[in-house]
Amino acid sequence: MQRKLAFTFLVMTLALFALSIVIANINRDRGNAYAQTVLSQYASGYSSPVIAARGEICDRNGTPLALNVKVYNLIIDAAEIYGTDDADSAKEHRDIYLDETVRALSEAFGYDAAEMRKLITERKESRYIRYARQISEEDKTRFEEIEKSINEANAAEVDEKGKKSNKKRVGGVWFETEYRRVYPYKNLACEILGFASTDGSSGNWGLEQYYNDLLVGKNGSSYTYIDAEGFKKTDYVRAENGKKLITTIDPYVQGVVEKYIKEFNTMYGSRNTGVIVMDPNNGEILAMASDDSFDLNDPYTLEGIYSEEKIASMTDEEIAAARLDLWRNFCISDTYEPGSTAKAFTITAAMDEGIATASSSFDCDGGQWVGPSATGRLIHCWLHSGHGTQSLKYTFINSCNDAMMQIAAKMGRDTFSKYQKIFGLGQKTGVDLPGEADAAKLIYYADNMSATDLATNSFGQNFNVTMMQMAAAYSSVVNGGKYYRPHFLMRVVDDNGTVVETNDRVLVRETISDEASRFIRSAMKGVVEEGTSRNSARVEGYSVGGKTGTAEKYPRGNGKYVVSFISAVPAENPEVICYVVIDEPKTDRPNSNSWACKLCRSILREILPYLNVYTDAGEAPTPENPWGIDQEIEENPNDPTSELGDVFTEEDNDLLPAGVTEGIPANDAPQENEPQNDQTQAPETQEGQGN
Amino acid sequence: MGLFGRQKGVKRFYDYNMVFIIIFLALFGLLMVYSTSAYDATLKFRTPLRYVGRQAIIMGVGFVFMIVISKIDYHWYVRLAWLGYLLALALMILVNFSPLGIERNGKKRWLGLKGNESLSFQPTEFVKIALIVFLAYMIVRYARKIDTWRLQILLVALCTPIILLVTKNNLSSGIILFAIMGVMIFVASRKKLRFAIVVGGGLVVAILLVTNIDQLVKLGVLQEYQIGRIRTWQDPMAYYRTTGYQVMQGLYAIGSGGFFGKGLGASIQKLGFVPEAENDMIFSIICEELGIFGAVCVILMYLFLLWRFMVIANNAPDLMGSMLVVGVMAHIGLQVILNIAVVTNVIPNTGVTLPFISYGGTSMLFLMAEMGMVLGVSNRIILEAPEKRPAREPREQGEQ
Repeated sequence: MQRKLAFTFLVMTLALFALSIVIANINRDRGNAYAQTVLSQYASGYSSPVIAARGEICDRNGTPLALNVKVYNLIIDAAEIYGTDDADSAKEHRDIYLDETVRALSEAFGYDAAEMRKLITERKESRYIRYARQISEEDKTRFEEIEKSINEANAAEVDEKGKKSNKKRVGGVWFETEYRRVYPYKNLACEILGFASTDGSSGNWGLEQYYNDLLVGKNGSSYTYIDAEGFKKTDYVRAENGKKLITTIDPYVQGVVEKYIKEFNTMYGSRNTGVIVMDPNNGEILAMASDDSFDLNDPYTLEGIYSEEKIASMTDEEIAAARLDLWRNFCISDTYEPGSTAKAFTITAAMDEGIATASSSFDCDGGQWVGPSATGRLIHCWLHSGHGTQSLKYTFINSCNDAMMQIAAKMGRDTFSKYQKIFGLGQKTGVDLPGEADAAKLIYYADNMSATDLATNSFGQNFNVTMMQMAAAYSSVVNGGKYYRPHFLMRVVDDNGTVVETNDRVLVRETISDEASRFIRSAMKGVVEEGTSRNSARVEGYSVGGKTGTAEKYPRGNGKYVVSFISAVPAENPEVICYVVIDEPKTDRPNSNSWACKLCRSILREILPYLNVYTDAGEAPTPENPWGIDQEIEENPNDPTSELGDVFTEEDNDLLPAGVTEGIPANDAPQENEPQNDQTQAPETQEGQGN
Repeated sequence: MGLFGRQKGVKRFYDYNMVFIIIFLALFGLLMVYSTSAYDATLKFRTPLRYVGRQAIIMGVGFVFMIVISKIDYHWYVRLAWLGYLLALALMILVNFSPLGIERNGKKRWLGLKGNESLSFQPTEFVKIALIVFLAYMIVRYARKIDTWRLQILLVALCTPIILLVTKNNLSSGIILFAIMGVMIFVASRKKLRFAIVVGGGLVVAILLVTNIDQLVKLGVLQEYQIGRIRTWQDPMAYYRTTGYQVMQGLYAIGSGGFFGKGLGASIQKLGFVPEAENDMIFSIICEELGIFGAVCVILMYLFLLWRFMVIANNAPDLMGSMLVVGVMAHIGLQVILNIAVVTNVIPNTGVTLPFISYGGTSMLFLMAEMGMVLGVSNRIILEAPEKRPAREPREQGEQ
């Protein structure tokens, strides 16, 4: 018995010895590989990203104009479905997963079953096929329900022997979470907002680009480690969602502006039309739009803008250029000659410099000799017959070029140039949008300004501005001389709703005296009541101040104009500034700024009651016929006695010498004397950087 | 002799070596259970001491149990062999065929009232002791006929129903019971050839089984899940996502340990990767934390324990004592070998615990009871008899 017992013990010892050898062999042969596997599965299983949501962009009331929707990417694990090896086990995987998974996918998403089968078979090695992006929650749930019902039905299936024999299952499909940027108002404020990339990591154009750093947020992660006591600890780096931006955009005003721009364009059309509505007392921009409009949810499509044949025939470069053109914000990126609107700068500068006072009078004889008598030349007032003797106020109301040239000559190029700088011409306004142009090379400075330049600049010709510069400068002109930085951002709010940053008004500099400002306000009111826009810019019940502008584009004499109108309401103490610029209006009278006036009036009629702007008569007008003259145009297109004829006052072609428009010198203007033609050849010579 | 069989003036042997090994293994087991289960327990119960606390209490109770049993004269309870046998049979019938049987993880192994599962226990553990005692009793009773085919077949026939009932839901316990039976009869008998034939034949059958799975499936001899196990054993990586996962994770743990391991408590695989890390798979974590060195040390401790069993069996005062110890030795030895073999994927996965180290209440209690039996046998060895009787060398006692 002892021997047998010893034998048993020996067998057990040998067995345990053999097992020790096995353990040593596992370590020797596969130790390194397994150690790596352990670490990698530990790392991959225990650190995972947590996606941060991009911040919302809201209007001034806090309603989101850009927000995020959770979406899912459909990931197919072909290796799981098809099996990884050639061994029987792979076939087993196939038998279990292939049929039902393909069925579930085609049932849930309508994919072609044969195609899915082919995909999985062809890419059987791949564990990660991102088959579809941005699937909605609904679609994901539908798939999951189908998956569940198929799996449960198969698991419950019983064969004739009463055994659960159906092993087929749906598997190897999973979903990745992502956020999709959605713009609920589609086209509204498209040029202001810009659009974010699909994954929300970067913004293109507009506020999305300018404030990208605030909006992006930080993706979080969770990672796990073993602490000193051997316990697994998980640390979470919380996803930090992007900040929410509360902007100054007023969706109603923006909507009205876009509506009338569209209406004007459908009715007449233009090369470019831009409108800026802002509060002159703090630089908040309520609305900014130009005629290019695109759906922010689908910004790359050119459908609906060009015909299908046209798109088909375009090269890639042409398509890219067309897109850039579409996204371009005319209001900040394009420059043009301002025309007579710039006269407010000349007059207020003269008053503050003591060159002119409210009681000064000027004599307009239809033109001004500029430069020394031998080499100089005559630059005409737009009214060749001359305005006669007028007070300073009436030089503005009549938009007299002669008087401006006289004032500028007295002022001299140094002072004139100083004031251009004070008004921010040739400089970026600092508006919080990317792609702003400064037109710095498109204005003259004291060291390169000739007498002719000084003369023409005095009435807004021969130098370029952007709409944003004009709107901001005019705000200071009417608000008592305070130049506030124009802006869209009002507040930055974090995830918890805490305001982390407020963007109050920023006073950049003082431009003019309060006295000069008061004077120009009354002069602007005079323009609307009895001056160049008396029939086209009045808004019933409101005291409106404004100034028209017309500039003939280079090359002069080919009948292309930029017409504009800037208004301030109420005229005595403006709360709203509305600036309208129409570049090359396709109307029968392209030089008539009444189109700008009417566009401005239509907008004001609708937004003033909404904005609770103080009314003259104490009641709000009804904007039932915003264009005022549409029917008349239809009815009496050629009747000079109709209201239509009345609308065009002294600016009407009939009243002007051929090719002469308000503010624009007659043909005999010394074009050869204008230096740096290349700079001023066209308003869009200098364009914003655009991205 | 009374229940404790005390005699005045007799100085008896007590195997303190074995007690020491048991204490060492049990405490080491506690340590490893703590190391492997703290993470899981913290996650599930918010306290790392959940498993180790229970284990410590059961271990304490078991230790007292062991000491008490070791002081009982084994001749006293061997008389109850038939009762134990019938009780074991009854329990297995209850587990398999009555509503008292509780199914967990698809295996009907527990006995208890539904809804009050903390009081449930695995009767297979009791069956092991009952079978050891029963066989020891039968072998002593028919000691003269032990070499006859008739008696050996009779013994096998008596044990088979219980073993089959156990095997139905617990293949590994069935194998262990079969081995206990085989070893006890083998050691008791003087015949050799017949055992060699049985073992050899078993091996041949096993090899044929493994090499001809497909034909067996077609013939319907094997069930599909059994074949799955064999296939997983042959290539666990191919079944990584299903049945091969546990094996592969265990192998990762063993392989990543190196010679001295990652250090006590430093296992990564216990952090949710190795399923049942504190239970069946605890040896893989020992390898990971303590390396080949630690694993061999543990194996040596078991070998030392088995060696003590052999010494006690050889020196037992009578055949009955020897047979009891041989049965326990077969049980412990086989369970250790099976556990390590499963963890290293040398044999297909069967689900055996590592004695004294794995977490588990029932098995620990009955294991301690078995140790009590062995110590009881050791305590019957007389070192110094009263003067009236001539002192006998313990060595001669075993030859009865």
